Amino acid sequence: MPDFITIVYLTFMFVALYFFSFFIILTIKNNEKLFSYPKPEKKFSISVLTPAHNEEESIQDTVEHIMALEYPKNKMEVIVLNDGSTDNTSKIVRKLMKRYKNLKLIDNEKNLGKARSLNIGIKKAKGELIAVVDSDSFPSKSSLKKLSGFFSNQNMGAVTSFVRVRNKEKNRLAKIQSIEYLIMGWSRKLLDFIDSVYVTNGPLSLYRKKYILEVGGFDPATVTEDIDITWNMLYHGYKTGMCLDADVSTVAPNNYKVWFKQRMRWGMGGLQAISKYRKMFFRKGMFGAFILPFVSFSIIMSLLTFIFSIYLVFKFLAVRFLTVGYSITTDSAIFKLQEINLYPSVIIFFFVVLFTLSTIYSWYVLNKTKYEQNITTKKFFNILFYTIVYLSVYPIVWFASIYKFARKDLTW
Amino acid sequence: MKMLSNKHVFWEALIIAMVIFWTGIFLGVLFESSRANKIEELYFQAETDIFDIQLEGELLSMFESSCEQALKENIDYADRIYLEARKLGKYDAATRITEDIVRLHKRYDLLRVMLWKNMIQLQQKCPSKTNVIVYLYQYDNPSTNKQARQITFSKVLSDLKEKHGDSIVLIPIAYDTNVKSLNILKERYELNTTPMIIINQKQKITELQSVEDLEKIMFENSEDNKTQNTLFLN
Repeated sequence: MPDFITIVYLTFMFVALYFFSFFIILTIKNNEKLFSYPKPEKKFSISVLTPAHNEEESIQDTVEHIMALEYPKNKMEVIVLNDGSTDNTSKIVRKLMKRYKNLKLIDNEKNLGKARSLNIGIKKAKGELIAVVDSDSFPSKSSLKKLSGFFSNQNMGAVTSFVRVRNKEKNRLAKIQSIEYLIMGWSRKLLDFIDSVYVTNGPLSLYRKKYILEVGGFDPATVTEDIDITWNMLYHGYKTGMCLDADVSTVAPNNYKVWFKQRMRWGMGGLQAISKYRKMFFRKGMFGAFILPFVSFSIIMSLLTFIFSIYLVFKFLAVRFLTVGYSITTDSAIFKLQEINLYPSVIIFFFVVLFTLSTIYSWYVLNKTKYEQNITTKKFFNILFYTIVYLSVYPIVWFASIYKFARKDLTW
Repeated sequence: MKMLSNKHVFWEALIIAMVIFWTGIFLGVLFESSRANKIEELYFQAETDIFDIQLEGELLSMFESSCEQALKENIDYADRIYLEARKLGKYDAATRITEDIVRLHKRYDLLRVMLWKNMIQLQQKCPSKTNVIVYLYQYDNPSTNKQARQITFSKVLSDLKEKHGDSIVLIPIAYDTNVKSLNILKERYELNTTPMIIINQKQKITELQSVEDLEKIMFENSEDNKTQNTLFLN
């Protein structure tokens, strides 16, 4: 009988193998359909809502990108929801309104938060569909048209886009997030094939207005209204989808402090959603049978792997540290070649196989999603950095999120 | 249609993961067994040799022949199983699934106890300058501190052996593999802690020592070895 540590290792390996096989099978089965999207049967009227709070630096660019969308202008209105900005956001939008007749502005005197602003905007919106575009995001020209085709399905409640990092050349953190966003988008698309898209992102998502109102709008009590609205739609039995060919670029945090705050907010939002819909576990179709357990299990596995790895690393370091001390005391060599063990174990073989396969798969995903024209050695190093370092330290965000969530501290 | 074909992915992934996983485990078991087989071949030779040496010792005592030859055979034998023990230790660290190496470890420990007994008898019969150093260590899950101490003990003893070659017989024995004959010795002579070095059945050392300190202990007592019987194995 293997010892406890081996059993834990083997369990992790099996779970990793399962999910790896899961995504590979989905990729193979749907390879032809990954970038396809339904052609719209009709031209829906769309209201594009852009909540903005002190976004004077990016709001003009965002509005110009929205206005450049390949969608009939008579079928589209754009509403900027100025959420109590203290900078020149409102002034810039007013200036733009002279240029664009279908651009509107709703000014909140006070900062009400994104969810409340969106709810105000939805009430005023005339479109059958509501597009939400973050004020630091820039949709590609054909994105809205491609997303709208999904709504030919009467049960479709929300469809999300493929987010790319706009400032990816800024520094290492931005580059790594660029890889992360592409892999996240890809896996989200794969989950679409089993009706399990569980986040409709802030940079660009399209919703059916009727269903948003039916589920009660965006919940102001949550810190990630995009996760909550998606789960709410799923809870009410509506479909969610993802279009890999509908691009939007966004500005990712390029310093660790901002990144950490953003991720902690995402983490808390995820925990809030799990807590809010906990009674749905193993009920209500794919939502309860797969999405809720999958998200919860991913968090638990990520934390357990981290705890276990830290324990092993610290144990190894403690043994090495003590050995160095004892070696000095006994005047013997601190390190001897005979201590090197070149006989690998089965666990190491498993790990190497999984790591190699997942790196190859990441490379494949990045090529398919046109991460770069040519993936050079330096860029390949970024993939390795993402796989080895970024994903390994990410559970720290989960710990911080759990801590804050447990303390009911929902500020960020 | 989309969902119907895609929903199979749950059990399809399960089957594929199980196939890969169990293939890996199967190959792992084969791999570990092949390592164990390599050691087992050495073990069978070592087992034959210990009986041969024992018999040789008995015959030599019957015919009152030279001690030198018996001593040399024992030292050579001890050196060989010391090297095999190192190899076994490395395989051991890389063994995760099967118990083969653990069982072999126990059998080797049995041989080492027999060797120790041989050396005791030989030292009584043939006084010599050879020092018998038995190293008792914890095999199963030592604490962090104990693990570090054991690594250091091993290094010091390895240095000592390298320095003094044939004048030292080094016998490392796992304390906790439940070898019954060792248990008797443990009880009788109060060998109740690990790591522990036993020099010529006289000195029990539990604190870390440098090579020089061990040399002092060994050589201060080496004269007594020639004339005295062992202190606590009498």
